[in-house]
Amino acid sequence: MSSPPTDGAPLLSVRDLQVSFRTRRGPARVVNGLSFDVHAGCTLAVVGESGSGKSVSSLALLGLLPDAVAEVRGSAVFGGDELIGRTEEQLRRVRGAGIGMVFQDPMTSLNPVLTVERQIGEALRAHEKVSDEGVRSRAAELLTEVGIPDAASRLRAFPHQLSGGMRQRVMIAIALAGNPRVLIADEATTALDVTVQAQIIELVARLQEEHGMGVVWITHDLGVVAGIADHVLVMYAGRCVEEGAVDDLFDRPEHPYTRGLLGALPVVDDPRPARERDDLVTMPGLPPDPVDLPAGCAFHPRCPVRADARCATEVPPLAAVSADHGEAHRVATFYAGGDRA
Amino acid sequence: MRGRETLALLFRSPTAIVAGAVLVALVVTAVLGDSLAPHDPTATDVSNRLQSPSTAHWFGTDELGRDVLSRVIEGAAVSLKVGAVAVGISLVAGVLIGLVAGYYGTWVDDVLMRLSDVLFAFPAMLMAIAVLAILGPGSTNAMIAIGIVYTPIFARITRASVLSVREEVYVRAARSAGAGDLRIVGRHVLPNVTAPIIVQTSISLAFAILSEAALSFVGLGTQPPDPSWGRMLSEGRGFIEQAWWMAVFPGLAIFVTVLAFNVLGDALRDVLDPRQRSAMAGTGVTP
Amino acid sequence: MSDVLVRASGLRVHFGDVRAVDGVDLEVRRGETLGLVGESGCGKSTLGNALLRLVEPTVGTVEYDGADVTAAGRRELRALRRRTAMIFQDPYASLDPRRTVAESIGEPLAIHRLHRGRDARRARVGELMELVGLDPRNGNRYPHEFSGGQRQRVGIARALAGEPDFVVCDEPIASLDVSVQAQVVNLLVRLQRELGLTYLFVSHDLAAVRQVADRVAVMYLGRVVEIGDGAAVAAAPGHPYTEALVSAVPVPVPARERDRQRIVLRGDVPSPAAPPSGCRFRTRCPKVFEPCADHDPVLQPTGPEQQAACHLHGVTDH
Repeated sequence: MSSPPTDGAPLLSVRDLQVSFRTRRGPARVVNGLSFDVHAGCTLAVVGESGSGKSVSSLALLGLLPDAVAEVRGSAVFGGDELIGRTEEQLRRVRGAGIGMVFQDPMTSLNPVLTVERQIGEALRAHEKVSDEGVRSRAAELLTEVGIPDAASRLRAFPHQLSGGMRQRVMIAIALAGNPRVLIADEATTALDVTVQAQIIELVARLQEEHGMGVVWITHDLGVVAGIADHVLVMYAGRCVEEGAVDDLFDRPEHPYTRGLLGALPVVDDPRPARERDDLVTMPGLPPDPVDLPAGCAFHPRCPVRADARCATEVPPLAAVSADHGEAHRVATFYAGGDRA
Repeated sequence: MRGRETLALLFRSPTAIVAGAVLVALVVTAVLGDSLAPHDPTATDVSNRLQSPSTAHWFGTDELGRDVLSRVIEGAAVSLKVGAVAVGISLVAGVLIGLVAGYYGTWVDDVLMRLSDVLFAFPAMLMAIAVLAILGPGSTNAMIAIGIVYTPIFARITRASVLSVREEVYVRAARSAGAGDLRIVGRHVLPNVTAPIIVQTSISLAFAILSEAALSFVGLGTQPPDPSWGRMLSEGRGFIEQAWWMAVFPGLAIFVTVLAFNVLGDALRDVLDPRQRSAMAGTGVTP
Repeated sequence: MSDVLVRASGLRVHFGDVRAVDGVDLEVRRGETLGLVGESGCGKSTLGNALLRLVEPTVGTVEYDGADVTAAGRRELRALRRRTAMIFQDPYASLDPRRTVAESIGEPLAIHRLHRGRDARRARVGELMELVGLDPRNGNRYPHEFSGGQRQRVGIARALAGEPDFVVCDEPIASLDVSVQAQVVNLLVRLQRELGLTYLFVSHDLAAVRQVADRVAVMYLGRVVEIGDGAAVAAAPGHPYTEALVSAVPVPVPARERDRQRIVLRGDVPSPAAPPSGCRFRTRCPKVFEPCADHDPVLQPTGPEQQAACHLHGVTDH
């Protein structure tokens, strides 16, 4: 699964994406120059805590942020077309058919008063003319494909009659309706129980293999990422602070923030009893306020290393530290390569 | 605590400022009443009856030669007093009923809410007239009648908010710490249901003043010779063709007051809604 | 002094048809952290609430420090409330938005008339704030001025105000960001060791439970299906459900994740209003065999410090 990206051109190529929101207190700079590529058949994981800008980035790509408050700059090329600055009409063709999206909360992202069939049907009709009969059979097919047994009768169900896992499967079926080439899963398993999460992860992996989709998995959960990602991108305060092939990044994390995140995770199969365990690694303080980002590296006020005078004045560039698996491992810190504490 | 913040947000809305200014002016007028009035509001002057507005009588005179402006000023006190006392009655009774019904639920809730449904089912005016038929006319009884009529609204609104606040985690937290019902209701429930009650108070004040005017109009409220806007409107009706100012000025006074209370109520509703509030204020986090 | 602080026997909590807790025997030992894991709807929160008598048991008893508190009257309940406390999941909802954090933290003191007098109470609240890593000078601020992690610290300070012996932590880190979770977990662990507290740590997150809990109890559909030493339960689960749960927890090590044999359970949890006959897990169990439909298994030893309710260890009936 973690084969390096195929040599072909990326399906989606994002360069220097910037998003800011107008607020009463001034512009909130939520995404500050994000670049990534999504390749067919590969999974890119975008990792970050709440407020890191990871979800806003994907919404910005699809033009789903309200124009009145959000300003989006940069470039995102999908299938040869630029997405940023497109009209609503042009973007609608891309949503679903080109890029499908699955959100965190399957209860609120489904319309509670419409049947499953109506909601899948809406997605099918958005991209082509289909008869009622066609919708029914295609919807049933999709439900079967996402692992919902007894699809024909489930079509008549309303969202509240389904379990959380079922609802997320329906959301995935809706995302698949347009045969997307890229699937963006935004915290798609966060609201689910772990055993259900395992089902959904397995499902997405299977669909990816069958359809050759590029998958962008947006999550705060490094554990999930370790199992499914080919390439990982860690975000902090709207920037990529580190990215690389999944093994590189987990085995040799370079950025103090990445190390902090990994150290903060309790490990289920650590054989030591609780009383003999070390404290979890913590980072003091909070992520910065996007209206009032600190000068220099946004992480420096919380950074345990802060080894360089430039930390407080210059934004460290994202620079390659190695390219072990043919894929660059890049990190934005003045500290990379130093001895590891 | 939050009071100052609420006021600060309220003053961002120009209509709320105007409404607030009108109401402050009204209260000042009501308090100063006698000293502001250019003439004695009850002094008759038959030689000067039905005078149109002039520099001597800005609002003209009525059929007994009384100065309409002075009577409108004097009426402000009557209207505001009736409104305030009536709403005070319904506020206290309604909030108490709503708290008890919402907090305890079960049969207490059923009994109290069915009773208030019965009150609610009658048209407000009919209900007030019925109460006054029992108590007898007069401004004191009008206050009581209006107070009774508006009690169910407060009971309903309070109950609805209590039902949701009762389930809040912080109420469970207080209970887990050993807090008794009195403490939970007094310290946690009541402070968290005040917003809709404040809004309703403002709107009910408008309705109460209107009801007093209506009751006085039909002769059941304020009794002559005391001026009340409703009474003056009623008296002016007979002279609408010869002396429009007799009805128009008290009518305008009612209109402006009711409008001001309504506008203020709407503005309060926006400001006290926590979702609106955070959007308006942009709350920061303590580092 | 017995080493059992809290004991539930034959405990059932039913809400109408829904059998949230349906026959649980459980002991919480003095000074330990007992982790209670399970997925949403398994009844773990209800069980935590029932142990504090915040919900009334339908059947069964709860003993606290040797005394039956199931039928405790007003005064006894009040005394119990001082010796027990709860930390809630959502630090946004669990603090009254209209009271300052010092007022919230001081509330148990006011209720139980501890540290009486303005100055004594203020001093105690300041002490509690320092204990949980908050600046006492921020006491007169309101909850909305604090971050999620700080609010959770306020909730913890409030729980500790009355110097309780037993604290139920109900998903205390579920709504927090990863880096903040670690802070709160460390804090809870430190406080327990410093103050000699007994914890019931209720969570859906087995990795977090392993980090803090000496023993772990696993719940499924209203029952405790396995209980035992934390390391033992995670390393050698005695119940197929525990096995599936352990295998589903993601590990942040790519090589291990790739090699892991993940047990993916079929279908959904049945409704707690109509649990399956016999073993409740049998409809999803990969190891189901013929006694499972007819016999309702009881907890039986599978190791020195471990019990599981599964017929694989010998057929039993509830």
